[in-house]
Amino acid sequence: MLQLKHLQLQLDQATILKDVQAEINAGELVVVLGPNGAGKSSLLKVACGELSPDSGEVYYWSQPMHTWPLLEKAKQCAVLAQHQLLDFPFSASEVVALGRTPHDTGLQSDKRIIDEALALMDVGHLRDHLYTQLSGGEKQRVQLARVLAQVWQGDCLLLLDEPTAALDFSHQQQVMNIFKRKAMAGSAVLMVLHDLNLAASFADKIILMAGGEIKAMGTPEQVLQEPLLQDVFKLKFHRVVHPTSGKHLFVS
Amino acid sequence: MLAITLLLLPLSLVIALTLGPEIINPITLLTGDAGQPANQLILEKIRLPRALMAAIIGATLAVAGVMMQGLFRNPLADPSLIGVTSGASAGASLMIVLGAGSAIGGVSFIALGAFAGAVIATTIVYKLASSSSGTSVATMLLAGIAISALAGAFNSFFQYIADNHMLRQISLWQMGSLNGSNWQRLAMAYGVLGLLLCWLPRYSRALNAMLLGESEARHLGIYVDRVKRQIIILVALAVGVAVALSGTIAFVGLITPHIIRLLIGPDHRYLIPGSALAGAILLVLADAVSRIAIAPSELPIGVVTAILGAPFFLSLLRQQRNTSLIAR
Repeated sequence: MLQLKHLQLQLDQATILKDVQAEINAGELVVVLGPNGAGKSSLLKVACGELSPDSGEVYYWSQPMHTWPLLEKAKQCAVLAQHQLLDFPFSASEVVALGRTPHDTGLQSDKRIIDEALALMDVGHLRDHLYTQLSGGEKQRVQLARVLAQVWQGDCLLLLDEPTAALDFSHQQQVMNIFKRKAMAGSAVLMVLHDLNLAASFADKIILMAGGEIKAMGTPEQVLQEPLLQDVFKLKFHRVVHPTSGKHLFVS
Repeated sequence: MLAITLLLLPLSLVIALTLGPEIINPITLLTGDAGQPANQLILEKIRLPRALMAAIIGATLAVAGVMMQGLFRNPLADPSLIGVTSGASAGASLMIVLGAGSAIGGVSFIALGAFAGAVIATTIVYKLASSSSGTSVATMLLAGIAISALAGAFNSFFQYIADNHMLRQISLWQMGSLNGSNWQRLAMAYGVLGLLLCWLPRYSRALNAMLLGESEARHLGIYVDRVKRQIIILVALAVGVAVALSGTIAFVGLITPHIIRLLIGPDHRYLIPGSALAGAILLVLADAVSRIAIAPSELPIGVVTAILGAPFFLSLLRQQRNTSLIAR
């Protein structure tokens, strides 16, 4: 669904991305991991067309991303940025309603989608609260509900920069489960995370980045190797086994 | 809420027609029979054109304020930020100093100078802030401040070289007045501004999305740069025409959207029509006050809006102090 081909990006003489190549298929949840400044967010910005690469090309359904008409793209590709700028006093449900901007599905159907998205992200009870007065985690879940409302129907591409930021432990799991289900239903999800253990339990594929390069790419079992992680994060990791699920956990 | 403002507009018009140095009975007003021929004349030639002019200018300034606040994602923005007002002042002063007193088609050269000044200042600000990668709203804010300062300097220079009569004319113009309203000007105002006011609500969805941020709006399918360019041009045009017709009228563009946002929230689908109605009501009433406050003399309307507007705005801010400045 999404192909990144030989992406090269420079900003003010600094090389941000070096020959990045990857493919995200329908049905996959792909997690980008790496230390601060590795180029993860830049990769996401190039992937969604917000930044244009100096060389290389992003293909979405085999068509260069920058040639997609914005409206057409918006109907099937939603993006969550790392930082949210909204400081006007919309209610939570009005924020989620903004996700329906590209669609002409009618008020009734929009209202149903907005309610379902709010409920799914566990912010249904906050629907009439002012967004500006919500806590950090609640704001994040409202923004996630907006992103979901944008691509509610059909298969889509989701590009999410730290979707679990500011969320408590149980909501992290809940949100990851929602996107995992979205991927399993046929969508493609590319997200930046910092939590190796969330990545280990939910990712179909992990892209490990450092210094603007992809250091490793593959299944969690392939990528999450102690020496590799130590090399990338400059920190010693220990792998232990989850007592019930049997999945790998990483502690430092 | 919108329905209430919709009802308040005719009421404010009736009040404005009634009040003045000569009180005209509102009942005879409604039956279309103003009694004495003199009253008939006052209504037809003076109060009605003025009230109607106040309504369209108020609506225009308020909607221009909404558009700017949405575009700059800042509830304290107003059209003067992009240099429209100061450009218009400089243009008008230049015309006064040049002694251009005559008029074409009911519009004086002073008004034309104001309009030209508004458009030139905004164009420079816009060009300075635009590059191949789009228009930077932050740069535009800074460019607006710089160009406003420059236009202010020109303005001071024109005042310095002006004689006493011209100086008085300049300062009166800058305080704003609807004194010159006649049916010819009214036709132009409603033709141009009416059209713009009908057109601007089309940007509601785009402005709503842009409150999330420009990148987010693009991801929601909005052609942000195109929308920004169009809004700037249309607002400059609207404010340029409004300022040309009535001089600079402070505070309406800043306060009205703010009040309406407190009442009905930041959704531009309601905010734009709500502000248009409220701006119209506000200016119609302010004009009535300007006519009766020191009757038979007149206060400049810009003075009335500032004197009434500033304390009202401050009291709103005080009430809101415990919450966010822009909280509903």
